[in-house]
Amino acid sequence: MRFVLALLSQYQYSIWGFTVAVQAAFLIYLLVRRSSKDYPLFCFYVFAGILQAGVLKLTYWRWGFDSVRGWEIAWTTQVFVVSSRAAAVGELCHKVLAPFHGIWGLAWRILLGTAALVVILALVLGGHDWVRIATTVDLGLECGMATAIVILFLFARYYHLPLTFPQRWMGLAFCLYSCFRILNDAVFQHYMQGYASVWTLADGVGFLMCLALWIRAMWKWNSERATTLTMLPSAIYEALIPQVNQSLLTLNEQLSRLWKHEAKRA
Amino acid sequence: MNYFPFVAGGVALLLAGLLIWSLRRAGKRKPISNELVLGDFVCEHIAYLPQIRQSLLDQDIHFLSGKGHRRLAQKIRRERRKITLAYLDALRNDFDQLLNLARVVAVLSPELVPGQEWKRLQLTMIFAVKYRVLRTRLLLGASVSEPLCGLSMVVSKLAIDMERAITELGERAALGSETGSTLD
Repeated sequence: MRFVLALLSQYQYSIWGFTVAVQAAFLIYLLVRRSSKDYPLFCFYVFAGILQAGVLKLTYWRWGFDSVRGWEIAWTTQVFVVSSRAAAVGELCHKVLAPFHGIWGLAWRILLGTAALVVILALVLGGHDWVRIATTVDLGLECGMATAIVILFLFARYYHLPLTFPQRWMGLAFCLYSCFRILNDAVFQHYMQGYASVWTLADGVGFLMCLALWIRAMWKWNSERATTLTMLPSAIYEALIPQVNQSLLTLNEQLSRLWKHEAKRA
Repeated sequence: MNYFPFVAGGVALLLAGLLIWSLRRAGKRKPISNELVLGDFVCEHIAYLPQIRQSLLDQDIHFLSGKGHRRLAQKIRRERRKITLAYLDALRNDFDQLLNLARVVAVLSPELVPGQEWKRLQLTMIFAVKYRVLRTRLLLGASVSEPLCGLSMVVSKLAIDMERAITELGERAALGSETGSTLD
């Protein structure tokens, strides 16, 4: 068992080192290509990951991987990194929806409200003790972010909004990573200490895969010009939309009548 | 036993599924244009309503059956069902085009009314479900007559109403700009 743990630890360290190196190279790439102008919060998130790795390296070197202090510092830095990821998710939502003023005005409340509701639900339903509270908060935040991204893409699909290649892949990576962490956290909560090493290893591998998706997204990035759309006068919306809705209602009633008529004939 | 991990796992899988579904064909969406072209959503299929109505009448089927041409009557019934299905699909196309116009108007509007948007989403979903069920029933052999005409009339009225509203708005906008230039 000890041998297995030592082996896992070695794997963890090599994956960790490799991930930090890739993150650093990616951050340099983003800065050189000036993507930081379009996605400053995303760049900050990548930087936060590197910073966290540095702090954790020092912490584990000073107090050890299994120490209580190490646990506390790890989760404190995790809150910082997860918060910066949440900000990057918010930035992506803004990038996709903000050019459409009406939609953005409607969507940001729904996005924020749903994400907050999901976080609260996860915290309440989790009902865990103080030992598990860190992972519960983490799980709640991940649920909130994944939900926000899914709602963003559902909005884009419903209104046929155009999504650029980087936006699609960035969103996909954010959401898949959050879903992966939800699963990982859920299993971790069930088995706790026995799963700790595997949890760290799985998280490292999962993050590395999502990092690959982010790199793919930004590889095709070209400076995004702010979409300038001439908005229609509000009178058009006020005049047309209630009319369309009324007609849709009548159409549905007609369909129901058709249905009843059929049943009668049969 | 704590069921929370299983619930969370289920939620994660559901979210991943929804994500993949919502991203289908996302790269093929056309950029939104500022121009609303009326010609794009003229309901052309409504013009065939009289022929469809005629083909849906049962008298000639009864006549053929009465004269002993049962096979021929069945064949004609089958072919008419095909035509009815094609017409229903065409009506759906007309409906989709109009809905698309409403979508473009919503996208290009500076402010949306959440109640109206929610109502439209609800109605669209109800329509989609009812349409599917009706289509399946038709495929299974049911026949329709007058109510289909009623359905066509609703789609046609929707098109006419939209055209009139847009024309009125266009005239009002033109009048506004003329008044503005006179005042200048």
